[in-house]
Amino acid sequence: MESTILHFKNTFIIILSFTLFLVSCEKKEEDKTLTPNDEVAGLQKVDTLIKGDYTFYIYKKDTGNFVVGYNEVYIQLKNNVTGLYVEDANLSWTPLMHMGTISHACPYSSISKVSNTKTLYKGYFVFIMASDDTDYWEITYNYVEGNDTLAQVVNQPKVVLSTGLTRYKSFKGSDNAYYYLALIDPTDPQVGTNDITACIYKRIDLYTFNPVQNYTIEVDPRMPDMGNHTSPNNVSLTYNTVSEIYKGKLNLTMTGYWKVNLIVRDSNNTILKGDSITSTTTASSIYFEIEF
Amino acid sequence: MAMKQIFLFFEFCFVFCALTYSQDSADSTKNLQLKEVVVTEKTGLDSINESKPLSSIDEHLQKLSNVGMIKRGGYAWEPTINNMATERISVTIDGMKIFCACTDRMDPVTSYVEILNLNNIYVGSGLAGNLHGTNSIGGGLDLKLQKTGFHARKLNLTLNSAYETNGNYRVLGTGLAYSSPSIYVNSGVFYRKSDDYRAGNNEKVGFSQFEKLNFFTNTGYQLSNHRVLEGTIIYDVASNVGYPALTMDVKSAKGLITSLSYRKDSISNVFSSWETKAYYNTIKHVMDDTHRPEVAMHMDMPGKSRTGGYYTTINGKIGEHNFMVSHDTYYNQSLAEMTMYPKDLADKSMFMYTWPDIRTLNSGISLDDKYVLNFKNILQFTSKLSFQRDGVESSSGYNTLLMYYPDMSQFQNRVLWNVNEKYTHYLKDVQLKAGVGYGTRAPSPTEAYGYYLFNSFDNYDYIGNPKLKNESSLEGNIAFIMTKPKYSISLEASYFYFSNYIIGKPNKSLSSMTIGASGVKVYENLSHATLLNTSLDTKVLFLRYFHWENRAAFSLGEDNQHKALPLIAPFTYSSSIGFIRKKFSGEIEWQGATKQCKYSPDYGEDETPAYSILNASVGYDIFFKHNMVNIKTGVENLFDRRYSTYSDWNNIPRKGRNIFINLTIPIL
Repeated sequence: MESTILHFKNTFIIILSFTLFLVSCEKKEEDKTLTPNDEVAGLQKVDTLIKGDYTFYIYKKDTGNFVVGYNEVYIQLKNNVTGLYVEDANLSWTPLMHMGTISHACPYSSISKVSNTKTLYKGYFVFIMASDDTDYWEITYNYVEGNDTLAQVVNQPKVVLSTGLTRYKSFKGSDNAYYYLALIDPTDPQVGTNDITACIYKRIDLYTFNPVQNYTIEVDPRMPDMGNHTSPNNVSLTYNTVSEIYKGKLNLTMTGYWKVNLIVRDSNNTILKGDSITSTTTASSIYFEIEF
Repeated sequence: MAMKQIFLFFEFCFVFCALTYSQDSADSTKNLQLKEVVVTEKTGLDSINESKPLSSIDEHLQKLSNVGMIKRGGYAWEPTINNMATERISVTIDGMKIFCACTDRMDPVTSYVEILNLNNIYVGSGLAGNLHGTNSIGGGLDLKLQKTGFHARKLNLTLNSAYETNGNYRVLGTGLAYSSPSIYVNSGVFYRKSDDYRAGNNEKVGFSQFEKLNFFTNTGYQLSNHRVLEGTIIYDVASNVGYPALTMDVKSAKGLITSLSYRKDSISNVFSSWETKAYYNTIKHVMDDTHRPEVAMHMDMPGKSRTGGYYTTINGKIGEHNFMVSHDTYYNQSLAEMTMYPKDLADKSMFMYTWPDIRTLNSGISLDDKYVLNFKNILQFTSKLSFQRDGVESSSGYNTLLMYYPDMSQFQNRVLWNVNEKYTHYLKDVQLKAGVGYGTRAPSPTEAYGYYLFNSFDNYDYIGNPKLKNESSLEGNIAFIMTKPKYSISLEASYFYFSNYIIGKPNKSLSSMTIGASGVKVYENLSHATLLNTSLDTKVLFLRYFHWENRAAFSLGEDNQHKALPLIAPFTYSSSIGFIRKKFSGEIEWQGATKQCKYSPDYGEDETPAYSILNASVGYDIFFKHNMVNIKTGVENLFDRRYSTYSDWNNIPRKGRNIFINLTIPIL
């Protein structure tokens, strides 16, 4: 009997250690001092713009051209005299489309520091048309301190139409205003719950595109290949005042091609654009596409 | 990675346990009362008493009382006990836990063992059904493997072959039994192959073919007096198995089953034997829809199940208490995935885990005490307490389920227990039995964590529910058994009152995944459900060589709204007259069922009509030199009736007329 008791004791230990094993180990990340080079690791340099004492390094996340739709841009600013990167620069920019005699702008964000970095800044453009031989986008970058412009540089990035999945839509709302809607995340979707973020701008005039607040973007992800199968418990995107973009939850039940059908409502809950999915209406007039 | 580590860890556990207990070990089976003995004898077959000895385990099982078979085709039927299927019963092989690898139950555990490798099948009813069982509130099946044992040196070798006209069914096998005072070996190879079978009226049932190859070896080594080492290896490969009732077939189902046990007998005055067994089994199951003519969407659905565990069982006797104490632990991994290929080839394939790497660790202790009050009265107490930790190892799978259950935890703990008391009173030729018990079971992997598992029976996709409570059962049973020299009567009844009964219910807010499905069902706890099983068996011996056996059974299952539960047998009956005289044996059997009045349309059932069929068989033993060649032949479904029963998935018809011949030839 003694060994029986011993046995149970052992078993208990086995189960206990096993349970601990299942709980598993968690990785601890240690803080390291990042060099300016570390901070742009993984980013692609698209331009180097030198003006006077300063050099603007322009980065983006992926290779290839800028596309019509959402484009995230990263900037590092170097003081050529000291050789140091500027850590508290007040940066701004303006995009402008030149089309012969006329021109117009597009929705864009302000430039802010990337959190947890010392030298990296970021912002985005939502380009609303492609450039070509005669029509081109021109971005003006400004480094300002007080009332002084310390440096101003310009580049003319090539912008092409996205050939892949639809991540950008412009539409005329039921209020007759023009809206520009771009998907930001997910860029790397997973099966399960994904954070979905987007921005939506309203055109005031050719040079003014204002981000709208207090709207709602309803999502209804569907798989056309699976008889328009959908997922439960999706959360509509609402405006987040901190990040200044729209955030919601997107549930994807499996990998594959998803059409994320959208309905945009204004602050009075009036539908500006989009359709509910029914057995006869299989897709909304505005949607994003996701495939993974 | 993690999996490998876990299994390495378990292997370590086995070694650890083996080291700890190399001093004492024992046999667990001694006190088990065999309610049903199907096959005996050294080479595994009691050919005298079986009209069709080489038929599959499934065909043997369906003759047992309390046991039913759910059929999805010609192969690998799913056993039920007391009208309860896989999730409520336990099926073990020599006490080993093993779990099927198919999310659609195409590979019940019984399909991995061959008849020649069986000594007997122990069928236990209800909570006390299987000492080694876990979560078995309905009953348990233990497939006892063939072990010749230690005797004087002797070698038996038999050649077994069978042919059946229906489906051009061929069986070829050989079995070896070697015994000596220190070593025994049982080994064999069995091969079965069938084309599509034909239902009554010569109607071909497409996609009912199958092929199966089974190797087995059981061996024992006597270390010293009363100390025995035993090992088992089974390798089973089923390939090209058609499932006419389902939308998919099986490309291959491979099972590797291994165990090593150490047993010590005659330990002391109190302890008679102690057995410790470590086991590991792995099953890989690959479905196939490429042969089907019209597939809405081609998909791959591989599944695997790996189980490692051990048990240690000690038998003893203190005064009038015959007791058995057992401790067991097992760890199971069930993983199944589905990749779907859209018709539009430009679109990416779609992938999901249908069993998201489900892990189950269960460890428990059980007690069986048989207290002989006096010659006329016996009390038997059985109880089991176990701890279970289950969950989803795959983080992708966990994230998937989080969409449906945002606050679910990845792993959860459960405590499961049961108590059961049985009283037997002996009165001359009569036995009166009454039992009462209470027990709980954890949700099965499918019920807790299954993901979009399509059920072709009710045409719903099923999603598991990790928040399910344990299901509990309050059970009462009575039996009256009278055994006279010329006749016997047995009347049995059992009643189960379930609380938190687990069953799938439609959830209209969810969108089905399978194209054409009616919707999605999610497993829920019903407040209660009830199940009544009754049966009457009689046997009369007459005219010296004849015996007349009758059996009638009736069951009734209802949910909390008094609606019928699915897959509950209607009134069934059988009557047979058999004849045995020396080398001759013969049997005529009439069996059937009444119309299934209580059926469950919610679960895809319709009213199965009544049927009755006639079977006949004869057997003859030829003495050839000193050996006895056994020939059995017969015809099943003599009048070629087209019929299907309540448990035929999607009403696929059963075999029509079938003429069979079984041959057993001793070579050595």
